[in-house]
Amino acid sequence: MQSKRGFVLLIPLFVVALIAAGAAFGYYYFVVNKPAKVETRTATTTEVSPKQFFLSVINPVDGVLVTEKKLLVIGTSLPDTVVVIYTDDSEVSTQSDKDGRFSGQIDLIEGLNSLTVTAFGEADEETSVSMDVVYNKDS
Amino acid sequence: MKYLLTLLIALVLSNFLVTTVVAKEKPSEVTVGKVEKINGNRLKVGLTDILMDLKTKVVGRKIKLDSKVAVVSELATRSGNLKKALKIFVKEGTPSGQLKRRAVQGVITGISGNVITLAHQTKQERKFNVLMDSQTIIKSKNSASGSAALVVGVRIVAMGTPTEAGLLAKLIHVIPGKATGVFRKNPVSTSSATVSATPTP
Repeated sequence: MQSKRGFVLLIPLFVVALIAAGAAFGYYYFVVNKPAKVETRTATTTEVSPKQFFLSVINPVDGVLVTEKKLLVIGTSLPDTVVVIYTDDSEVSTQSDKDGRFSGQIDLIEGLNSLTVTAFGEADEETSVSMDVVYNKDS
Repeated sequence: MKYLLTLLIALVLSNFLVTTVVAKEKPSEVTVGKVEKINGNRLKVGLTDILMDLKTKVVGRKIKLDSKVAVVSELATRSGNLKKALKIFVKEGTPSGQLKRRAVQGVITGISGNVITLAHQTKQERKFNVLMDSQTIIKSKNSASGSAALVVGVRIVAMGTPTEAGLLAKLIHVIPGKATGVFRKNPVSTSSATVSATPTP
């Protein structure tokens, strides 16, 4: 009888301890261990000469972590510029439209991908932007 | 007694669910750089200190000094610069003798079988060979094209892997009707060129 009473008294204590542990966990996770702000990065731009030939890659940015195998590369250059986009395992070429916009989809391998975007101008100009893109499907 | 037990089970279950969901939604970030220092289960990648544990998955080769790595970690916390690694990708190096992929452009000055000779339009002494094989993709504008598009005088961009014999092209992009001003200024020699390309498998 006495042991049953002891057990009944123990359960509320355990419940209170459990709630306290939950509250402590919540406080630690949301207040103490508050996730840092994600830094914003600007697009990479390489200009050979102002007002003339240029290449600007809007997406992706250097050192980005992605979770999709297919990556859409978007950028701008002069109108009708041939742009080649490649990694060690995949490549695509495209031409910018009348507004200078271009895009191309490239396949990534899991892990670290060295991406290069090279634009070729009419007067033999050539400019490249290189960056690292990390594909982790589990992120 | 029954109510208390039910309440207890419900609390344990809800705690378990919350923990599982929070763990799955935990955001991650990546640090890319060279390994500057290895000290037990700690790495220094660039300026960032990385902590590895038994759950850290290493993908690729063994981590060494100067290895280029991408470290996927939990988002940085307020408590310092130490990041707990969830996964580390080690960059596979280029095999010795194999050069890095690259893209070149030029005007076709000659075609012989599956070898295209290109000349830089403004620096014509700079000539190089582009090799085609059955895997080479030929594009014009934004659509697929055939080898018939490759004729002397046409400007192309070729992308591939350098070999001893020239650039082995994976992709050739024909630039249609362009660089007319440059062509007039620097006409290309076409005397020894054949008419069209015949890629061989």
